[in-house]
Amino acid sequence: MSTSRQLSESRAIPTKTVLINDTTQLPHDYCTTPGGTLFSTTPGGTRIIYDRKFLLDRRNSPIAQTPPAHLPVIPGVTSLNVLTENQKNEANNHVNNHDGKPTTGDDAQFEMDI
Amino acid sequence: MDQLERPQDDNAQETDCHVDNADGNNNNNNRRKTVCPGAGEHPLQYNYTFWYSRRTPSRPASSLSYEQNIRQIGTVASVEQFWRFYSHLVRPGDLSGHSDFHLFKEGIKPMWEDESNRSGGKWIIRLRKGLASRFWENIILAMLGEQFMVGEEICGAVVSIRFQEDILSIWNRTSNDQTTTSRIRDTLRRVLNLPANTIMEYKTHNDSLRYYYCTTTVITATITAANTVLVRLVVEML
Repeated sequence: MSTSRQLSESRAIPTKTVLINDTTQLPHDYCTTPGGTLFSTTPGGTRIIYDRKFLLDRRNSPIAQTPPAHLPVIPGVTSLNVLTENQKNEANNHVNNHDGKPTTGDDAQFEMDI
Repeated sequence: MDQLERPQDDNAQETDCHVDNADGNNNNNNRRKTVCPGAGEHPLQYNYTFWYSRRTPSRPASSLSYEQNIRQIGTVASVEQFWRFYSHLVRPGDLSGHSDFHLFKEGIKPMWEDESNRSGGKWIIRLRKGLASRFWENIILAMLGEQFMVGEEICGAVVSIRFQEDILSIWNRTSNDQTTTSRIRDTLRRVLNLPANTIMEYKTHNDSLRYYYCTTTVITATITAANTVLVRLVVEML
């Protein structure tokens, strides 16, 4: 233990108060709950809320892969085959998110905090 | 074939959704649902219906032909059902011609005349070519995931593929509810991560109707349920 000691002065923890008049002035990540929304309560009562990541993760479950029965056949719009190019691009978007590499076609996706 | 006839979903529960509509969740204004989440699936707060419409540019846009040109693709009640349909639909960026995808709450037609839309409006976002597929996916995931937090106000979302630009819109019930429209706008900014200088416009459906049509005049009269005659002046663009 050092023989020479300096007494530091005690201070209150510095704080800053920002007055806002409107919810639009809140920073975007204020009170974001993991898997939730911006709001710490749910206006209007309990709701079923899913964030984007959760929804995307369900995409590869087996139930989600089979074509719906009675899917209308509209050439150029509906397809009985799962659009694998769709999935490949999406998978690339996720893998490349952190690299920021653009995929073919659309611009690169950035990881979004939702 | 009646194009507005709802195609049946393949769930075993399709005609007998034992959903207790008095459970306080106030889904779909307590209308009886035709589709339910399957066992082990993740339910959505509301059921949604996919629609598709296409117009050949030479045809005039009257509301009669609009109703005939739009058709239902299917209704979903769970996350997994949503992916089943979505994975079997072409991405909007790959649609040809003057086409739209609509994803609206079950029971609400994607037309301003629907009673849920009559007093409503929409935020519209114009996108340059190449962005529609990605932003469509993000806006509908936000809608399905209840990210907008405006109670019952959201009616649905539309992606419109046009010649030189594409348009994303999100429709809500009450156009003069500024708290709602501001909150929708803020959520859009947060969930879409739009390119810089993207302009968002809010239009009431009444405004859109007045603005879009011009030139020839067609007067149609509609008898409403209360037996009052609603005379609507529809001016069509040739």
